[in-house]
Amino acid sequence: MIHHLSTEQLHDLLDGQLPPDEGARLRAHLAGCPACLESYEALRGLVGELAGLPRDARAPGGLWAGIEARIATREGASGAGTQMSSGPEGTTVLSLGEARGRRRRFAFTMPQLAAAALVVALVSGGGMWMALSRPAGSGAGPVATAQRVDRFGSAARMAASGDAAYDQALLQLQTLVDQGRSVLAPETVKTLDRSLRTIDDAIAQIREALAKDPSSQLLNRMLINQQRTKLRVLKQAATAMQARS
Amino acid sequence: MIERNDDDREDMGSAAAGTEEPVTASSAQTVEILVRRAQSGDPRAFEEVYRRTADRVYALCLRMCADGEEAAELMQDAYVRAWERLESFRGDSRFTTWLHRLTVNVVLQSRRKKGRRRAREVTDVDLERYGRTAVAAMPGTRVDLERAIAALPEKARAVLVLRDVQGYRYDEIADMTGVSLGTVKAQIHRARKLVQEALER
Repeated sequence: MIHHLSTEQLHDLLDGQLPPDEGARLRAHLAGCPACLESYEALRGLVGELAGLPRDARAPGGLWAGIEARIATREGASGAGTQMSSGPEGTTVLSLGEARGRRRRFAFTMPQLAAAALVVALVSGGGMWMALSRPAGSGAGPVATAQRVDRFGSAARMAASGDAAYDQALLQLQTLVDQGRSVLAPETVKTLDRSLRTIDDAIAQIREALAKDPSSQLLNRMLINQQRTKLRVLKQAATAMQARS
Repeated sequence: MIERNDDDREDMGSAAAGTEEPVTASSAQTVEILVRRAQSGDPRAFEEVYRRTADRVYALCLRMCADGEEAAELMQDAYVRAWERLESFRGDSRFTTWLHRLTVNVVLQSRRKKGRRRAREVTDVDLERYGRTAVAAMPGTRVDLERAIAALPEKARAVLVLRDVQGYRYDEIADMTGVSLGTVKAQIHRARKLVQEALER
């Protein structure tokens, strides 16, 4: 009676997991057993094909900006007692406190932080921005809707003008989006909601940090940028809904 | 025996650590040196680390999640966590190994949380969509193989990707995933069998 090699033995032999003498014994068996040799060759072929797959994948563009913004937001938000000072060439220096058990000085320029904060939600939500940025279909949406959307063309600027204007614009846009979400694909709505939650989380974190450090120009600027971002996302969603309705 | 856990992009020459020259892709800095600069508080060095390592980390996330959108989110989570824990990297292993271990933890933790909320079944539609994502991100890949991997149970998929695609050793995978060596081996054997069966269908 021929004892064929077990699955484990075949894998261990292929993976080099056996002592030399045991490996030699199994290879000798393969030389005289066509059935086991066939199984072994099939397994080796598969593992060779897997090893031949690309190990790198082209990461979507813009992800770094989201990472940078989240790092900046966390560093800022964790900085109760954070000391900020002007560094050379417009650099803002954050001397992070000991709360996180470190003593380091991180330097981000204001433009870097502003740009990063602006894109955090857009890129954090994966393909949401791309999904909503698709060219509008040829069918014109209701004029009234278009006009309402257009009214928010400069809505981002409201974010800088104070909470009342921001809240008003936000409320109207949010209502518009809530009413029209049924025209979007469920996956897109899910992504939209996730992106908005990301922005809201960022805004909440910044506000929390601002409560401890109200005079921080950096945090104020980050808050404005996040608010602008939320308005832009809502406007994009409303525009996409208009195109599909 | 197939071992190919090399990282060809790390071997890009060297330069003195701690120098003030601008960090650029052409400055022939190794990832390890960039990491040391990042550890000393240079965010631009960390950005360059990202640029040099992101494609492999994304491939890892993509295959472990079988979902492009989720992979992008978890990849971001992994780099944020890497920045937060950068000081804990002591250089005992290569930085990329440390980063991949951290990434695997981020992905597995996330999926464990999701798993508690809802069991995720991979449908044909999911596989079709993932196949398109995989081909777009990895031109030249074998879509039938990618789909067969994506259809594996999560744990089996993770260890197969780490072992047979990324080339980690069994003991490294056990360390990364926090399961015993015997379990890792059993999962890989099972995963290979399932992939073989899927390709034969």
